[in-house]
Amino acid sequence: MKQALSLGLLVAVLFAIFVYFQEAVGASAFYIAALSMAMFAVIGPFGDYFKTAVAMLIGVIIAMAGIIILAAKFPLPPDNIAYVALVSGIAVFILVLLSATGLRIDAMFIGWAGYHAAVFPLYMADASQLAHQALPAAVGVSVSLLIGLVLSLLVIKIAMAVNK
Amino acid sequence: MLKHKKWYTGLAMLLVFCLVFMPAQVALGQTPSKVIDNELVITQLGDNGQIQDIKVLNHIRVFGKGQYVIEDNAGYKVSSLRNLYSKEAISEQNGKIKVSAAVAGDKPYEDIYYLASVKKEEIAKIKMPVSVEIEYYLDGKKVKPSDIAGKSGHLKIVATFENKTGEKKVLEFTDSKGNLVQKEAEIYTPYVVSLSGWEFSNKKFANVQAPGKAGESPGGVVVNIKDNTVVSWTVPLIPPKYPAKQYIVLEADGKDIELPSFKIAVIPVLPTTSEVDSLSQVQNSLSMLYDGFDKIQSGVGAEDKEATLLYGLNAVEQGLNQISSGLGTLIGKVKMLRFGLSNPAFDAASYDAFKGTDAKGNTPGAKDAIGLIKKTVDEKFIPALGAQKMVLTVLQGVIGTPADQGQTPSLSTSLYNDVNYLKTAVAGTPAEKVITEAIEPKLMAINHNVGVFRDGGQMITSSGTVDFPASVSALELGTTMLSNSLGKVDAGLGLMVAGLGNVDKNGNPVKSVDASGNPNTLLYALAAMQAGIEEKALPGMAKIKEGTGQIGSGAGQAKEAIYEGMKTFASVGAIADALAQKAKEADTFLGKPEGAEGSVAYVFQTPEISKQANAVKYGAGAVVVALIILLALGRPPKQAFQAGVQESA
Repeated sequence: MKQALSLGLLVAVLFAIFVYFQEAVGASAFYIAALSMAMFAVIGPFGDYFKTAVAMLIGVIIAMAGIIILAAKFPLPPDNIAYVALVSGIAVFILVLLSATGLRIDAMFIGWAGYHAAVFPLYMADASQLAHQALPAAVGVSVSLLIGLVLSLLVIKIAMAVNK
Repeated sequence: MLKHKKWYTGLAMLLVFCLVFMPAQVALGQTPSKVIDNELVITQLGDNGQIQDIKVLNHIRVFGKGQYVIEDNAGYKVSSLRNLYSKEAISEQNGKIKVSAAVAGDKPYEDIYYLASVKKEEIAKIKMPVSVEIEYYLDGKKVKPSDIAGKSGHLKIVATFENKTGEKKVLEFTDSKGNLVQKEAEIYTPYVVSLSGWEFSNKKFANVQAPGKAGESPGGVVVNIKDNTVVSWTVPLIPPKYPAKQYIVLEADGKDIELPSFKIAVIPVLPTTSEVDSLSQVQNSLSMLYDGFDKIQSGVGAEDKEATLLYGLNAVEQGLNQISSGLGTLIGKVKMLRFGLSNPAFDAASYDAFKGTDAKGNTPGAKDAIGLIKKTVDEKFIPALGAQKMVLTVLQGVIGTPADQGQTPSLSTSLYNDVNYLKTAVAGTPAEKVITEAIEPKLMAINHNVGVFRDGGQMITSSGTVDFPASVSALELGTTMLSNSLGKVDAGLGLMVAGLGNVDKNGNPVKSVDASGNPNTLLYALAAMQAGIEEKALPGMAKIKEGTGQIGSGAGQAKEAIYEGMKTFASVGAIADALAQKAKEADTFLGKPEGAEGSVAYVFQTPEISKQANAVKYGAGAVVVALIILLALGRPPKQAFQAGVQESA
C-alpha cells in the first residue's frame, strides 16, 4: 500500500511538474498527456509501452507530413477542405497499413489526432505559419503523449502494487 | 463484345466531357474585360536586419466570362510559385507568370491567389521603395535580436524608415496673382508605415513607452489591454509635409524577453485626414503680410526715388553736410573775428609803434590796440597834462599878483613885485602912467589868461572876454574820461573775446563748458555743433540710411520668402496631385498583367525572438528520456511474453 501511495504521489508530482514546465519543453496542451494516460493505462502490466510510444510518434510524424503536404502543395482552406479530407483519408489508410506491422493502431491515431489538434487551427487560420510551427508542435505533442504514456506506466505500477 | 462496349462507353463520356467544357475552351485566348492585380509583398527581416526572404502574395481578380490565361509580369526571378486557393496550374517562363482563370456561373469574376517566392540572388538587386532598418538595444548596448531571447534588461527598439522614391519634377500651378508658375520639387511616392498591434506581454515587460520627437519621430499609442501592452504607430513618409526619413522608438523593461514577429505594413497611399483646413486662412494672412512688406519696401525706396524714406534721409544727410560745411566757414570767420579782436600771440610789451607789430611781428587786435592806447593815455597823456598845469601854475607864480611889492627885484621875485618896484621908482613920471595904465592891466590879463588856460573860464582878449573851454584841466579831464572809456571798451572787447572763446596753438577752439557741461564760448559751441554733426549726426544718419536700406532689403527678402511660401501654398494642390499620381503609379512590385489595375502593399516581418529553439531542444530531450524510460520499464516481461508464445504454441 505504501508503494502504491508513493507511486501515486510520484505520478501526481510528475504530472504537476509537467503542467508547470510544459512551455519549457514546447508542449502547450498538457491535457493531451492526460488523454494519453487515460488511453494507455489499459495496456496493462504486460503491455509494450515502448512500442506504443513508437506508434504514437509515427502517428505524429504522419500527421505532420500530411499537414505539411496540405499546406505546401494543395489549395488552402477555407474553401478547399476536400483536400484535407483526401490527405486525412490517405493518412488513416497508411496508419491502418502500418498497424499490420504490429504497431498499435490506437497509439498511432492518438499521435495523429494529437498533432492535428495542435496545428489544425493554425493551418486553417494562417498556413504559412506552419513553416515555423510544424516541428515545434510535433515535439510538443510528442512530449505530452510520451509523458502521458510514462505516467500511465506508473499508474499500472500503482495498480500492480495495490493488487499484489 | 464486352470489351468493345466499354470502349464505346468511354468514347461517349469523352464526348459529353467535351460538350460540357466547350464554352470554356472557346474563351481561351480571349481578353478578360478587366483584371485587378493586388500584391502583398511579405519581407522577412533577418537577425542582422537584412532582408532574408521576399514572398509576394498576388491576388488577381479576373472579370469576364469564360476561360482566360492571364500573363502576369514578373520583374524579378522567382524560385517558386504556389496557387493558394485553387487548383489551376501556374507557371513562370521568361519573366511571365501564366495562370488560367475560369469565370463561370453567375459570378462576374474569378479570384486567383498565388504566392511567389523571389529568388535569393535577386534580393540584393531589389530596391525597396521604403527602407526598413531595425536596431535592438539591451541596456544601451546594440544587440542582435536573437541575442536577447530569454534575457532581462532595458530593451530599446529603434525602427528607421526612409522613403527612397523622391525624384525631381517640375510642377505647374497658378500662383495667388494668377500667374502660371513652374517650380521644381522633389516628389515622393506617398507611403504610410503602419506598425499596428505590437504586443508586449505584461508578464515580461513593464514601463512600455513609445516616445516621439517633433519633426523626426512620431510617438506611439500605448494601450494596456488585459495581459498585453499594445503599441501602434503610424508613420507618414510623405514629404514635404512629413520627413522622408523617420524613426520610431520603443522602450521597455524586459524580463526573460520573448517577442513575436512584428509586422510593419508599408502602403503607398495619400491619406485623407480629418484635419481642419486652415490653409486658406494662412494664405490670406500671408497675402496681407506680403502687401505689408511691399509697402515697407516701397516706403523705404531708394536714394534717387522721390517721396521715399531713403530719398528723404539722403536729403537730410546732404543738409547736415551743408550745415557742417557752413559751420566750418562760420568757425573760420569767427576765428578771424576773434583774432581781430584779440591776437593771443600778440606781445604788448614788445610792441613797436612805428612798425605796428610786436617783436615777433604779430599785429595787435582791436582789444590789444585799445589796451595800447589806454596805456599811452594813462601813462603819457594824463601825466603830461598834469605837468602842463603845473607849468602854468608856476608861470602864474612868476607873474604874481598886484599885491606883490616891496621886494627888491631878483630872479625869484614876481613880475608884479618888479613892476611895483619900478612904479615906485618912477612914481610921478610918465613911466608910472605907462606902468599903471598899460603894463599892469596886461600883466593882470596874462595872469588871468594863464589861469584860464590851465583851469578854463573867460579868456581876456583886447576886444573883451571869450569862453575858453580848451583848458589843460578840461583836456586832462577829457583824457581821463577817454582812458576810462578805453578801459570800458577793453572790458567789453574782453567779454567779446571771452564769448568768442580761445583757440589753441593749432587753431582749434579750446574746450570751455559751463557747470552743466554745455559750451560757453561761441567758437567751442560752433566746433561742438560741427563735431556733433560730423561725428554723431552724419554717422548716425549713415547708420539710419544703412538700417533703412536693410529694412528695405529685409522687406524685399521677406517679400520673396513670403512669395515663395505663397507659391508653396499655391503649389500644395499641384504637389497633392503629383503625390496622388505617384501613389496611383505605385501599383505593383513584381509586375502586373498588361492593362490591369494594380495595388501593392508591403509587409516587413521582424524576426521572432523566442526561446522556442530551446523548448524544442528540451522537448526533444524529454522525448528521448521518455523513450528510454519506456524502453527500460515499459517493455513486456520476457517470461510473460515467452510463456504466452509457449501457451499459444
